Amino acid sequence: MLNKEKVHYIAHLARLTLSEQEIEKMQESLTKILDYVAVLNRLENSAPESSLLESSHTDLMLRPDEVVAQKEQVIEQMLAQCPQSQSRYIKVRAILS
Amino acid sequence: MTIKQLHQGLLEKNFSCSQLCDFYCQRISQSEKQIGAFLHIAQKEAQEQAKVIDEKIKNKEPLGVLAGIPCAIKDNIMVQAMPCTAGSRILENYRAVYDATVVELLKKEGAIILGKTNLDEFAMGSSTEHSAFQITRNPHDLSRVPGGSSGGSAAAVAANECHFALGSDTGGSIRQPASFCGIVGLKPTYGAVSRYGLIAFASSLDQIGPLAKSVQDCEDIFKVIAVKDKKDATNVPVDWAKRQQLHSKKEPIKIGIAKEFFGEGLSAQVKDVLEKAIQKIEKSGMEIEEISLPNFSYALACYYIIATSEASANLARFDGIRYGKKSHSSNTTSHLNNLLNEYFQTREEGFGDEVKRRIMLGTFCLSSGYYDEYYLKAQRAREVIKKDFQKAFSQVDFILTPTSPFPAFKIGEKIDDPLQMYLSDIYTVPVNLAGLPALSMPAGTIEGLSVGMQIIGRQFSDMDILHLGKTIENIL
Repeated sequence: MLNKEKVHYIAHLARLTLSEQEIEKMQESLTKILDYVAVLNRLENSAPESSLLESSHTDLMLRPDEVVAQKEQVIEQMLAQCPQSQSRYIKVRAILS
Repeated sequence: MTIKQLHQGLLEKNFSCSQLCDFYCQRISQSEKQIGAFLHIAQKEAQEQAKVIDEKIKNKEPLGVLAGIPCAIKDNIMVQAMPCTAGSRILENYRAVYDATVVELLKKEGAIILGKTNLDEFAMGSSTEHSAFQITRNPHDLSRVPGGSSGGSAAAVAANECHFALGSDTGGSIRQPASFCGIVGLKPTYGAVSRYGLIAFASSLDQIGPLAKSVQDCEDIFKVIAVKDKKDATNVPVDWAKRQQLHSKKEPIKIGIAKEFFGEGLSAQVKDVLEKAIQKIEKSGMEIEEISLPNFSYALACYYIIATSEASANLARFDGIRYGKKSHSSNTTSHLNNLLNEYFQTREEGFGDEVKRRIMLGTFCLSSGYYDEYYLKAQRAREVIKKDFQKAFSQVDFILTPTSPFPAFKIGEKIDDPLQMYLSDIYTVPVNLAGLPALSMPAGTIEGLSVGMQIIGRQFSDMDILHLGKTIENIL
């Protein structure tokens, strides 16, 4: 069973605030799921690591590193949707003291 | 009517595009209270687009086969100026500022977009019950789920609220709702369709695909959207005509039945429907061969580690800074912690339970001390599962399985037990892990509830699967 401290720690890493009730529910459901995925322990360690980086398509999907200016209308729409903005800047709270 | 028949009808002026559009808009206003498939309806825009197509028909301009055909788009795919919520409160008021590539391609062909459909929040779910906004009901039985996460898209097609829809599939999210709603759904080969403009859930698993009432319709849509896009580096250019081998194949088609997919966990009634369908297929001259995918038992565990790990990274961008919901809670402690607190509060308020659960699981699996035991192990499991499929495809041309272990379940039945919900995907997740294409099509019914059959093919054999699907449609 995942202990409460562990759940708090993971929530902190994930930038999530969980209420005490949510922590308890999360403890229960995460433990259940982690118990289920433990079936992977039956897999031999000699199994190869992922070949996800290998591809039968040997030519890499690259394109020229060129800047394509964004349409003004799009920039305006994007800024309009930022919760806080000032002229053409996105506003954030202070990071440094 | 199929897309091709509608296309003919429009060209022959049997009906106008405006009439077709109005028909579906009326269907939506009649059915939506019961079904709840749409999160956003763009009636005015659709009717304007219909007029444009009617003008083109009048001027005898050349038109693609999708021109004037009304469709719906899952709400995790960007359609410019329309809301794009991903079924989440964190994007409640967000409007797309660009079109996804697939949407650009549909618009270029002249398809009419009627609106955005409901989904499980961030595509995480198998019933559409995890949408932050509303539930969607199965048109065949309103007390049951339409499946998920593309439940809105599947229900809209099944209820005749649109002619076709686009969905996304990470672990079965097109195929399972297609199965539950009695329609056809295709998950293309990973890399066949551009993901540009799809809100990412798990980037090595996600694919956009069509949902429609016939395999031919799915093929017509697939041909339009499966095009090389330089904006998606995982998208592969494919000469589909060259890839199609089935037409020229002289020997009988070999279909593999993997015994692991017909074992424990499969409902006896679903097994019965599938077996009857397989018998009919065999009678038609195709060869049925028993095969094995011995590492099948690892697939669900492997999926839920990899998908949630990728999701925890992909959803880190939702912090209330550039877009979406921002918490206005004044519960901040010190000046130093203001930005951090904002992240915590925004995400606490904006994300639903299932999303939080998956982010937590993914974060845990990637965290220091657990990465080797969980994430690395899952990557190894993924590799053996891929190799199982490679071996199977050296013996057979296609693999046929049930899409889901059971037909559509009742609303609320599995919502309190996440693991039970995850087990819905047991036959669909191996396909995403291996990056293969798969089609779900109706195989029969159990007391009026649809049972889907899944056809899995080799990488980039999408056209062959569609061809086989059309053949099977005629057999069943």
